[in-house]
Amino acid sequence: MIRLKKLLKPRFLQPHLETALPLLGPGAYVAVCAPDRILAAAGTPSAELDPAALPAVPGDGHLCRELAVEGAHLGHLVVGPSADAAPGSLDASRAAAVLAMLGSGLDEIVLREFGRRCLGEETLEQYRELALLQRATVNLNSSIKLMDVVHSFLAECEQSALPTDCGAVFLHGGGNGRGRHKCLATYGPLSREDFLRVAGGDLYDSVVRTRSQGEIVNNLEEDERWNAELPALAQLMVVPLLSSGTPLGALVLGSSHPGPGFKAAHLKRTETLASAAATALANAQHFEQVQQMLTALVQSMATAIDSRDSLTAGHSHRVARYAMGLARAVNSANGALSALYFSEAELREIFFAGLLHDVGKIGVREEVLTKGSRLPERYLELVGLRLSMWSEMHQTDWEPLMDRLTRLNTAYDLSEEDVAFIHELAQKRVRVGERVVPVLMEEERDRMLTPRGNLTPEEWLEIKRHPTESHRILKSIPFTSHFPNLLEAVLQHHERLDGSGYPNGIMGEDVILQARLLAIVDIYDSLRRDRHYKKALPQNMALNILREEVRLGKLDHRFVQVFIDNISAIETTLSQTGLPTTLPLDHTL
Amino acid sequence: MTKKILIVEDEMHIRSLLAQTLEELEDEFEVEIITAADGEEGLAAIRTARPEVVFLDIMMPKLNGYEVCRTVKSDDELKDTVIVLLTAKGQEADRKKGLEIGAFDYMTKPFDPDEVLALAKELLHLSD
Repeated sequence: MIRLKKLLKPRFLQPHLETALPLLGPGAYVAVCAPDRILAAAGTPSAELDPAALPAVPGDGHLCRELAVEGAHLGHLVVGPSADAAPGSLDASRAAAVLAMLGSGLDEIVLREFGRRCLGEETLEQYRELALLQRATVNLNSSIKLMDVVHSFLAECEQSALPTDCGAVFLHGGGNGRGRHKCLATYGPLSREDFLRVAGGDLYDSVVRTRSQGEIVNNLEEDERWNAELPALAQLMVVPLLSSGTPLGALVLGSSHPGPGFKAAHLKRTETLASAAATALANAQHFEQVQQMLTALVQSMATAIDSRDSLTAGHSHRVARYAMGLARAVNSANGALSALYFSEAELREIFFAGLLHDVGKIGVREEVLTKGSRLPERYLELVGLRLSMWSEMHQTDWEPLMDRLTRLNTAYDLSEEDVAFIHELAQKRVRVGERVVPVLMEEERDRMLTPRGNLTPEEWLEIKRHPTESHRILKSIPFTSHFPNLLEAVLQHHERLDGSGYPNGIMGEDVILQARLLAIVDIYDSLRRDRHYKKALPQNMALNILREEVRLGKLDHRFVQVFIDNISAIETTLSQTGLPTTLPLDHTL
Repeated sequence: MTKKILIVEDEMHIRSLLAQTLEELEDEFEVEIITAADGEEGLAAIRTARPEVVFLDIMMPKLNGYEVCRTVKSDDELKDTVIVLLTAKGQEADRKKGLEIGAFDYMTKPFDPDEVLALAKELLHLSD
């Protein structure tokens, strides 16, 4: 309700009335009254003039004319005999004429001023929206992450002068089912579960899906679409978030107290904000979906690499999780490592480096990769045949000899006696048909003499190529801006701090942090699993070997310490799915 | 005691919109909104009415906002007047220049009504 004072400024009104006073002749006063007081007066008004009582006038000679605009009462214009005038001295016809003239003039002024103010309000509202949009666009687009955009959006709603004390943002799942709506965030006293009940109701459905247009419901109880889904709410404003015309989700703003409620201007302002938010949300959602696809792709690549050998199945996945778990533990470590902190992006990088670290093994031959013995089965059988023939010839038992040979075939280390035994076998000869051949042929003997593990030096070289191979395969992928260290980490994961690693034998500071983390967890996982040439070790033994590697100067002692200190927490991360910081946009949830 | 907010702005519609926005303060504070249509009038109004807060446009004929601001800030009697500069430009250089010559804050046109109100309230409280 506009007040008269705003439409007729006293600074103008006072001199204006004083100019009119002489027209009334002597003994008169003229006054403009608002419902509660006299705004301006010329001459001395009668003591009994009561603004609140008008249009009832104190007595004879007083004339009163209403001031109003668009049907709304504003006040009165009053003319009458002044307090100090002699009774009857006021000229009635003059008074009437002046009242009419003044009155029509003031009516026009009031109307114009009212019109001007209405336009002003309209313009100010536009200014508000413009400022809101400018500010919101900057805030909404400052992050590509979905939840950042959602929180930014809700913060804008909270801060703008809307009559709301609670709200929620919804994202719709796929399909037409209402049960698939997700409440991403709320503010105010009501919870997500509370708001989800609203999203499942008819009112929400009709506004968002059927009409796709924002709506205010200031009296929820009386709306037939409302089934008291949330009795705590008294008023509601629902604004769909539209991207390319289809509803992505919706914003619901509510008030738990009945009151004047939402106005059309509020809805308009919120719709402006919502249109900017919807775009930002669609972008963020798209970005996250692409990220998830990328992660899934890389994971399936890792699975493919690992599955060439049944014993390494899952290795890359575990290394990825161990490495990320270790990096997180480093983040919360005190002491020497407190200054070191891996950001979320760096954690992702480490995760991906883990998944991809062995991709170069694709170039290693199957038989080398899965070699479990010095001599392949079929070779051993042939040797066995020759040995049995020799034993028959010499009247001895061939089984103990064969047993020993079989054991040595898969033994990790060979002792001096083992070596002597093998040489002895190689000396023994048998007649096969017309030829005389050794029980153990030269090449077979050389293979049997492989000192450590089961790989010959050539085979060992082949395996050692895999970090370089990984690097070669991955280097054409444009990781740079997101994952600047990934390639290097993959290349270096077999390097050791004392320079004893491969492929380049770099040492100390040259070995980057990410590679140091990978090295530790790669060794750990290998120790904890069965391999062709050895059995799995229990946790304490595996950790002891890590300690030994530290003692020998090969691994970073700080990271190994953190690993050991946090081993249970890190082991637990194996059971988690997905990257912890991503909100799964899995619409089947 | 009634406080005064002076609006010095040559464009009539901006002047009246600002006044209309600031008039809302009258409900909460003892405040009078006065206006001036150019730099000279504005300086005169500052001298006579001694407003606590001045919203001062920069681009004006006769005396521009920077000059008014400098004059006010170098006058011992007037230098406590809080000045907020208004302009259509929003460049960093102008903002810096304004703050260097003693303005308290800087707003761009079209202004955000809520921001203007919030700032004015803050300034009125400060001048208590």
